[in-house]
Amino acid sequence: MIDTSILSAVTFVYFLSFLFYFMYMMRRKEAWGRTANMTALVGLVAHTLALALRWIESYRLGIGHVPLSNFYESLIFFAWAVVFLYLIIEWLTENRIPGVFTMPVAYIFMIYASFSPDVSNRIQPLIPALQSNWLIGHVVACFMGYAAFAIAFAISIMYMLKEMIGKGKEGQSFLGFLPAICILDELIYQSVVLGFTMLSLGIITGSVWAHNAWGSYWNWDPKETWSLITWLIYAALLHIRLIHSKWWGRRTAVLAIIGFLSALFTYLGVNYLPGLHSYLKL
Amino acid sequence: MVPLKQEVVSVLKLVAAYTCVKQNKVCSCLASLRILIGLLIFTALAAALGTFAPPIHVYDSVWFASLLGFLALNIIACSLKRFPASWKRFMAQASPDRSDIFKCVPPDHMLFSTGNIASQSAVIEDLLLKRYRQVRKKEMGGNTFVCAEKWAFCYLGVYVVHLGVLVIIAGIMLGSLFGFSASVDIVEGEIVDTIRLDGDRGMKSLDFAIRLDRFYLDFYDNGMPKTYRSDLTFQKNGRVIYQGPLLVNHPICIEDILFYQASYGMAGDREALISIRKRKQEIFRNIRVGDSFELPGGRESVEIIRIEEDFMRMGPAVKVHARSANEEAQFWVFQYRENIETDNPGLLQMAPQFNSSLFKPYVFELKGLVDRHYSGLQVTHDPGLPVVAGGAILMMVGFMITFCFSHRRIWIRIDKAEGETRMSFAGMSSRHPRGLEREIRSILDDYEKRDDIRI
Repeated sequence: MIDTSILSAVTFVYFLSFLFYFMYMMRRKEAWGRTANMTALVGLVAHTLALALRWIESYRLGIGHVPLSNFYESLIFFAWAVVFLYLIIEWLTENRIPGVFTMPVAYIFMIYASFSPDVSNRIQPLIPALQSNWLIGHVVACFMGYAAFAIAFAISIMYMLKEMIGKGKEGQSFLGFLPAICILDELIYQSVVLGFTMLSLGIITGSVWAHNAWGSYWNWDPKETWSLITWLIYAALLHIRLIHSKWWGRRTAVLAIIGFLSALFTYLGVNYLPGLHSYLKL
Repeated sequence: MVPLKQEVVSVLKLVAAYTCVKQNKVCSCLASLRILIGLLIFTALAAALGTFAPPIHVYDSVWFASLLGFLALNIIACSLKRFPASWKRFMAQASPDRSDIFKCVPPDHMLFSTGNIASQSAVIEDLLLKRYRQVRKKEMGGNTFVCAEKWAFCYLGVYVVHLGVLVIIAGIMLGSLFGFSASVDIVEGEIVDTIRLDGDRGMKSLDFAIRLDRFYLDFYDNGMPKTYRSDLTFQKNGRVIYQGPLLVNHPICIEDILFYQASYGMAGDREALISIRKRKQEIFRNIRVGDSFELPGGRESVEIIRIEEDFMRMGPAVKVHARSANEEAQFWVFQYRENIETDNPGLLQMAPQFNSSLFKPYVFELKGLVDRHYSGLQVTHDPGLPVVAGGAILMMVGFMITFCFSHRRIWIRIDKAEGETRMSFAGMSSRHPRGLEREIRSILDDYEKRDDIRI
């Protein structure tokens, strides 16, 4: 299938983009930054094309549906959303450094989707519970949320590196190349705001769908419960800002890391618990 | 009596004073953001516990409900405490003359013009009025200050979000108090009018009856399920009130009660189709174990003893007991009679219990087994549903107000510098400083199109 071979190439392109971002961080030459950005953009365009081809292919197979319906497709879309959102955030904030930490996230998910023997890349038809118009809205909102949280996570790692190891050693190591603490804090907050809004939208659309499919908008299914847990963690993060400026910074970064782990568990770990959301079973 | 009355009053005063102090403490404790964060994280932990320990009923326990209740109280208290300040900020109007914010205007936020102060301030006012509804102007010490602002309502968005959360909680409570959820299994061809309430809460009878006309099951070529469909007929007082298919993701709503396609299975009692021939006359009949019926004419009757899917490796078979006034016979009727005869010549003639023509003059024939499905329906009634939906909409609207808009204020000072008229641009934003920066840039760009301007 052509789409999977394009996606393998995209995986490589994302790795290349990461290397360029890394060079940019070390050398601080704008040329490296622009190359990294262009590489990521080329990868994203090819990625989008592959998703579109897969969509068309599913119609050719007579089971036409959006490519968001099994584990492979969700991993691919997650990587797409991370790169897409990252490029938007880079454009909005005019700061390229987080690319060093975000591109690997997309790359790892692409690698996992392409090379894990547990993940089937076949296009499969939709079982009755998934035959709903809410599929696109629900999945896109959730994965945009996850992607924004992944970016907040990447920036939080930068923050922790800068704060924990880099104290008083500015300029001595690569930590000097990282943006200032207060900029990182602001970037984490803005990414979380976006992710939180998207996750809320994802939970609401999911509830409407659950109401239509299962007869109740909330069933305490493990995935629902874990999405609520993730939501509560990020809600706590957003309120930390109101308390005291001393409370910002490290607590925000720690919660953003915990929150992303919770989001990952919502996405992946929950498959190992019994429940209604078993469409992603390996 | 007077002293007693005084005593009562003084006791009441004491109690009032005491509770007032207490209340204040309770209030300030409830309105604490630290408590809120603690509650949020504690609720998250409790919910997580519930996913790992299914035997412990966390979510319908009293303590989990009280945790949510406490969270709701905390949200109310925090909102009440903070609302007046936000309202003040929403209502406040920026005063045009603020010299403090012009202390460090970057050079690229300044324009110079040959025109005089009055004409330039008029131009600026025009430019601002394109973007802002309200523009204020003030003259002070020979300088002119112009200021404009928009989107101050963003301070109120967060209260819309919290109101949404509270409305959702109220809707959930409404649903759990006055709603119900139940299930019912209906076998094809049968009618039910009672449903089984979830959580062993007994049976509930409906005002109408439901008949499952047919259950359809369809698969893709690779064996994955494609469609589950129940054709249902709803009847009330013998009249059909609704008839149609019930599909997954497409519930049917009858009298505020929703029906969902939830599961299916094989009905325990199997059905078979037999034909009974008497010379030229043949009748067909769907039968089940235990059925007994009269044959045409009313002199003979038949009872169905057993229905087997594979009797003694000879395929589907039905055991029939037929009787008339002076005769009685029990025998098996096979579906694949010809095959059995070619495989075991003479077997059916040797054993009278295998002879389907034993009860003369009738000849029995088994046409086939009919597999009857049952369809499992989920039945719910939730009066809190529109409330929850309204709360969710409020919450999303609140997010939009809070996160997409920021209170933008722009000040422009027009004064004389180096013989020219100087315009300095400054601004403040409650959020998204870059958005404000872009806005100032675009105002500057508009301005720079004029030919009497030097940057």
